[in-house]
Amino acid sequence: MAGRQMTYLTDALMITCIVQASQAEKVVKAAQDVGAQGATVTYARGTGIRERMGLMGVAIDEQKEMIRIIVSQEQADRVFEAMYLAGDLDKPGMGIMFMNDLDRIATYIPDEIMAAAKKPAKKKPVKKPAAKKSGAKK
Amino acid sequence: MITEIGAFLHKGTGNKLLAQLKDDKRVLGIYVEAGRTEDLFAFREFGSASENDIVTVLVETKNADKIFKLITQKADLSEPQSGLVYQMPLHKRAS
Repeated sequence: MAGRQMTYLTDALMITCIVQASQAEKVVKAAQDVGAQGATVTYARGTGIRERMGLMGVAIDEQKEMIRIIVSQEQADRVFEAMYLAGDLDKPGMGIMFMNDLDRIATYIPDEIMAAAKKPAKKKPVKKPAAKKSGAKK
Repeated sequence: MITEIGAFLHKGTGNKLLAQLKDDKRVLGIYVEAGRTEDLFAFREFGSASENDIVTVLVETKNADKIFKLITQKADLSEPQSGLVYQMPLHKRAS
């Protein structure tokens, strides 16, 4: 490990969204449209809402797709909202989603990005506030 | 308190990691899932996606740092397109 250094990314969140099978694509597309890099999708089997909805439950696919997206804190709410709307999660039986804070992330970071991150941010010139003219008569 | 350490890795790497960690006494649980990813790897197999493994490791929070480092070393994240490892606190456990 000599000469190697690990850099962690922080201030990130993971959005997990569980939707019916074949719905993931449009949810991921919506997330990407508002700035998410991409997503990881796995297959799963769900239970709960199908049983509670009685006969109507047969309309809900037992097969689920589980979407995981890692986003920065700044874009988290925007991506979350876009996914929610794209997945129609405001309708019964369509799915559920949640967001978790991540302590840290490790991945490959290109040298040029590391170099840019290490540069101190340029200080903006501070404007002196204009002296207020007093309207009070002496 | 326990911590979840997750890893998005190349297809096939997940089971190798499982084999390497399963006998580690600090590991409370380890699971491997198969999925598809849109952004982690450059090669594409299914339209815009490629297959990958998702490894979930549960550890006591006091051991999380060491296991996290171990996983990042085994995943060899120094190369581009090698995946991603994350750490997330969990609030409650029962077993």
